[in-house]
Amino acid sequence: MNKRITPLRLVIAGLLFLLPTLILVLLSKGSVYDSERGLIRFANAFLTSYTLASIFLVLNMFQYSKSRRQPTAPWVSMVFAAILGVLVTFLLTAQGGFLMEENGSRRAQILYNIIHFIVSSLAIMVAIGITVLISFVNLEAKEENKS
Amino acid sequence: MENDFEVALLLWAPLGFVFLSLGLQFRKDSSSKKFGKVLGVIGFLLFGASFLTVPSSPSAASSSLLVNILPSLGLMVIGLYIALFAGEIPVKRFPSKLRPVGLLMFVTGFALFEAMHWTDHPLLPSTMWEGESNRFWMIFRPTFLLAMSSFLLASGYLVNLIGQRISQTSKVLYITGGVSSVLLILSVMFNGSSMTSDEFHNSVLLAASDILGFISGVGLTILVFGLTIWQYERKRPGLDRLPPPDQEQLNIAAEIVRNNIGGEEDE
Repeated sequence: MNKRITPLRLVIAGLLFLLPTLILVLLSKGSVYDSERGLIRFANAFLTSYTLASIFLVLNMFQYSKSRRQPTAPWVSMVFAAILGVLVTFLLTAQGGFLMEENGSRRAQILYNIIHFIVSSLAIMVAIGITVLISFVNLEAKEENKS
Repeated sequence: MENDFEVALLLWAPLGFVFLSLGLQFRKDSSSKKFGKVLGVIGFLLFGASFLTVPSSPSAASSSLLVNILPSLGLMVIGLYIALFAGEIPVKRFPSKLRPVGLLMFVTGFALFEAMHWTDHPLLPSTMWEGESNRFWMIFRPTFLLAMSSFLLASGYLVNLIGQRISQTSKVLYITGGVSSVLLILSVMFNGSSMTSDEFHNSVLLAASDILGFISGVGLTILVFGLTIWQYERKRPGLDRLPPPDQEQLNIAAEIVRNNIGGEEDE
């Protein structure tokens, strides 16, 4: 790790990351933000991203198993982790459940969560992509050795 | 029931194809990868058309959004890609004179994206769905602007610490992050063409919940994935306690070595 990256500097970077959100919270003065809805959105985003990413990583675990003479333990563990996410989602999206938003049924809520996840992750991925590209666009040419 | 079947066939199945295509890119054989790419393109096109084929589905609004934001996102990403590979780097792919064109494409794409919020000019891509503001546009724009502001500002600080030959980069990251943050603040102060400032303010704070939930969820999955592999690996015998390779293993190793040695074979 680069010696110039100290924990304090990482905290400063974290604070800079949160700065736009903090400004927006200060500007709202608690008047427009529906905190209960915010908590539900957080829980839905957390569970959906956990479940979908787990299912995606189960597929990767098969590749890993292949490279290790096909043991079952790693992918079975990952399948359990994914099933846990699915079960919790099902439990909390029952009628009147904690995760229900403005959708009429459990199925509608789960499908909406998936689309919501795709839209949010697309926005975040494009933002990360643009950040990376802008970082590299300004790379300067290596200076020739001057003797 | 018939409508459910149509929606499953014309919206959800294509979306599944796109995910399957991503999964297939991790396979080693090139035919699977090629098949995955074809499947991905078909899935993407069918999903993109689902707002026309199954407009009754509430999820079709996301397909309409995708089609409408594609020009601006395409301009931004392709523009930066051209600017990057037209720069003074060893892996140059475009002539240097294309660099300003790339940067102009990025600025135009960003301006188009913002214009979609501030005006409802008929020539611009629409952010409406069934007579009101597309609910997924109310998720996408706040999430995009907030994520971009946060990542750019944090990266502006971090590249200063780790970078060499990037004295301009930090400044440009801070400036772009600042512009993005100002646009967020303006949006919570002034009404857009199809969204009031209060609606946007609520949406952007909900987007913050989404980003936090997204990062925590994916982070937990990666943690579980890492722990699973670590648990398995630590139970394997150490290299010094492994039995010597048998003939079958030696044959496999010999074949791998044979396949990876370059040069002409002896006659």
